[in-house]
Amino acid sequence: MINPDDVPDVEDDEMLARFIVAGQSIRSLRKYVRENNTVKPQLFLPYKHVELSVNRHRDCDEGEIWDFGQAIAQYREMALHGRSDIAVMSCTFDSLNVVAKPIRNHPQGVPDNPNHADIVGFPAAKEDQLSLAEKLAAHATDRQTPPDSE
Amino acid sequence: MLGFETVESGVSEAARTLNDFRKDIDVLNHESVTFSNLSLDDQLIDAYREASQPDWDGQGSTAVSPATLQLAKKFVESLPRKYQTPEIAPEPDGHVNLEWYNGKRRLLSVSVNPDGRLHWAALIGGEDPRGSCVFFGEAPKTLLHLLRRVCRG
Repeated sequence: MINPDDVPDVEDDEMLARFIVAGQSIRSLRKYVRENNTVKPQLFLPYKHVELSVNRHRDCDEGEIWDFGQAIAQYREMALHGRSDIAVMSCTFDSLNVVAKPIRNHPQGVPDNPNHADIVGFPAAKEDQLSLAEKLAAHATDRQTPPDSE
Repeated sequence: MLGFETVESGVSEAARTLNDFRKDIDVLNHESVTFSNLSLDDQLIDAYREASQPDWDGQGSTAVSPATLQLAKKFVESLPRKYQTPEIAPEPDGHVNLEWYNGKRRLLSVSVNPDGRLHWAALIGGEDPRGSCVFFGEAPKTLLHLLRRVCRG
């Protein structure tokens, strides 16, 4: 993982993971993933904030990427159903950008995560958010399942 | 037509609300001449089960109300029958999302908000039309046009 004491800026050639965290049931998963395993725009729709949490692959092996996902799911008391990956370059269009947002000693107990980043610049209007989310989902990979679910 | 089982009486406020919602759907089903899409009801009930309580996503989400689900149902029913099969999902802001999908770059999302406003965005090839309007009981012409384009071939 990234050295927590030396978090570099996000670069264009990096990959990001958006974790799919939902209730235990398959029907809960259907909010974010279609039957053909493509991801829905809902996975990339921000709420309350105008930014969206993602995880940088940088300096991580596969196991570490999934460990971050499991930690988030555990914190939210939900299930980790998988992840969808997307290139930073596919997240920097219109008003969107990606910025490093490492988590350390979070006041609400969110697990430390030097690889955390935000997609920022979502507009406030719902239809504009939907439109950007559709474009992000179009560029994102199909759902990948966690190793322990196979 | 669809007949919902009765939820155990007196268990909780949430169960009563769900039961009321089911009864409302039953009534609507029997009043509707054209409506016969059972999966729509199943999806609405799933959405309610999933999101009827605040913080249902563990990130401070707003509960989806039965009234919003009813609005979503009325909107879908206002469409020609061939378009009455969107995928339905609750949204963290308490809206109900309807999606017509015909490929990663051929889809329409409509978000129904509790006040009866429809927010929509489509992706059709390189085009990205979007907008919002109040739902007055009839399907907006713009959305019908987009549905035709998204669902075509």
